[in-house]
Amino acid sequence: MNARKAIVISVVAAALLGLSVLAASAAQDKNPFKLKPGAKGKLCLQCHPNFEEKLKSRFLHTPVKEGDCSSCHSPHASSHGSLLAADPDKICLECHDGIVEKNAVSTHKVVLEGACIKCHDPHGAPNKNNLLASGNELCFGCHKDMKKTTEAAKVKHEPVSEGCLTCHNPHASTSAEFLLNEKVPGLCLECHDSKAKIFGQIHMHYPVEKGRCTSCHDPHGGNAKGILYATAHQPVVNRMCNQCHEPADSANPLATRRQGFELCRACHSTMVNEMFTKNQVHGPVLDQKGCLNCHSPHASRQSALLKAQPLNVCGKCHGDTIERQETAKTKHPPIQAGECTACHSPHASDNPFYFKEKSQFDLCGQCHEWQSHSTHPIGDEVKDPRNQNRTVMCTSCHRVHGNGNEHMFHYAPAGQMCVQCHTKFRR
Amino acid sequence: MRRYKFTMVVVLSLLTVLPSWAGAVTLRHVLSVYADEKDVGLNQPMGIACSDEARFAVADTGNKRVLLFKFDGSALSLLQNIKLGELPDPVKVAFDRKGGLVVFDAKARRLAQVSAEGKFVRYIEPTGMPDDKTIIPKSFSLDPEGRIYLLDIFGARVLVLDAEGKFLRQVRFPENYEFISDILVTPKGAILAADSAASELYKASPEENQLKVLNSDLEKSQVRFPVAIGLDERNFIYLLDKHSGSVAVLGPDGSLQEHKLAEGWTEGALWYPAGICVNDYGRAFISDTDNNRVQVFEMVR
Repeated sequence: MNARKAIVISVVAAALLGLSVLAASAAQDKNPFKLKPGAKGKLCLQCHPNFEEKLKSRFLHTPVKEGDCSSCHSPHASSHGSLLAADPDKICLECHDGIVEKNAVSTHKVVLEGACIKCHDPHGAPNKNNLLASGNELCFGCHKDMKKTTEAAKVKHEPVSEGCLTCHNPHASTSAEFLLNEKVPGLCLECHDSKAKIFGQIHMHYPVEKGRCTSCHDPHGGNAKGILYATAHQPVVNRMCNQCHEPADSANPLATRRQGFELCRACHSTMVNEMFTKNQVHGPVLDQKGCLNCHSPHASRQSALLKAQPLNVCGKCHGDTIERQETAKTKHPPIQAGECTACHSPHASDNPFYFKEKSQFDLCGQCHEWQSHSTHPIGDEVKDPRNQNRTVMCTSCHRVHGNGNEHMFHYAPAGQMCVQCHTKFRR
Repeated sequence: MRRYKFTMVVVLSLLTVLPSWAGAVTLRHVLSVYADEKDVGLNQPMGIACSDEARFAVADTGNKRVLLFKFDGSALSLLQNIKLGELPDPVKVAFDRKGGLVVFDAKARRLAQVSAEGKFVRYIEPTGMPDDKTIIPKSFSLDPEGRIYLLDIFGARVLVLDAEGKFLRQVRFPENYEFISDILVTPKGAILAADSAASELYKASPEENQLKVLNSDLEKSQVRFPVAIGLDERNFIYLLDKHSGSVAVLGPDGSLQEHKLAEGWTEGALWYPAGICVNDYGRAFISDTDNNRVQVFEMVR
């Protein structure tokens, strides 16, 4: 055998050996538990006979269909429930890792949590994609308020009836917030022709197609004509856009005639003038955005045209105060109910903390009838021993926005609170 | 060789410890001011200013007056009790170069000049503005040359005016600001601004025309609602956190060094404070608003 022949034979042998190793490795990947041929799912069914029923589902998860139980379950032992081969909130991603694109703008909370089984049956289901329910019913399982809203709406939005997925992506969106398939107004304009004559007439020929349709219209339906939100600003209802905006045929028709509170003052002069008689005007009222910091100029689901629920509106700046309530042991009902304005005047006040009443007694007394009972000495005549310039008030003992203590006491246990002033009882 | 090694270890240890030590400061309570000479108690004091002559002025807002004190480290004396009809709601004060005061009144929404004798001189109206936008001041600061830096929340800008009120230039608010409550101009002319809602600190160098974020991590650092800024001679920044009743001490670069003080009612503690200033004698003055007093602290390093 000459040297050349020997080299060729060696190379071929090495290649064959390599291929066989690769093939063996691939086979092991496919059958990591070295199950006997034909065993797979059938073997599992010997002990899990009830699963036969599941296998009759109209739609089956591919590994189930292939009897490949061990692709999700470890047959011997596992650190996870149901002998899952990986963390329950990550196991699906081992095959479906592209379900949320890296540049997603919004992602469904359940997807982020890895709670795929809230929507999908991992084995099989009567619905496509192994969904637990069909159509909107699946979404309404969690979004119960939305079910009520859409069912109660007198004026329906057709795409809602067609299905939530007409506008929303169930997993994530790379385009827009709220899992929308496209940003607003682009999404709306897919169905609504802004060039149509009627569209221009209804919108007083303002180029609203450049704005946010959802600042006026409730995409899930409503009771008002044109599915405007429940609370609509009167100029919007009356289609008097030019009361606030530049004329429709001007160079910049969506621009407002004035900025901040000066725009609103034109109609709400009494309110604004009264505000300015107070010592302290709430800062946001006077900044560039002015009233629009808290109110929507067109329409809103909330009363008083608030941009969102009061806790969210106030919490945008006073998040730490709202958070205090969220973690509090004892909740103060007005805050719990989002009624910040039960105690605070949101626009202006002569009193500290924009309180509605000068006296804390009058303020707290609106709900707490402590005056009719015997009580700890309290009032303008009772000096706080800790500070000669303070009198004993409700807030001397209670943190009204809550804290980690029962009854919103500043200290715990309660005795600790008392000895702050009654020092001779300190231990 | 052994001695050399030992020296190196000592030097390196000092290099490690010194930077943190250099920033460390203890605020030791030395005085609380509760009332004027007639024992009229302070009521919701807001802004406070310090001067080089150991004087300090406080806007005693609830009593609609400004009180001028001197504290030399041992004795406190009331110099003036200024109550003027032109100032129905004084909330912020600063010493001018003539020994008088500039006062911002929240109800009048104007700056007023008050003479060294405590008399009203005039309202300082911005003139020569490049536009006719409405101006709504929220706070102000004076630089060593007497220029006025006016925080205009309606125009989303800081107006730089000369001592007479003539427009010199303007500095825009940063992108994505939320609500700026206070500004302070440093001796070198940089502007610091505290965003209460975003819990951020902004800065603009003298040549810049827009504020930029200096520290955006304040919220993570438990600074909840910064409302006032003080500055010491080392350019360390003292950010008064109204909602936690504490002071965040930041380095000149805006990095958080430490938190000082805590909320409470006893002396040394704060309850919803609103103003802070630091004087050349190493004392910090805090208007402890809801405790209705001013507290003075020695800054011990």
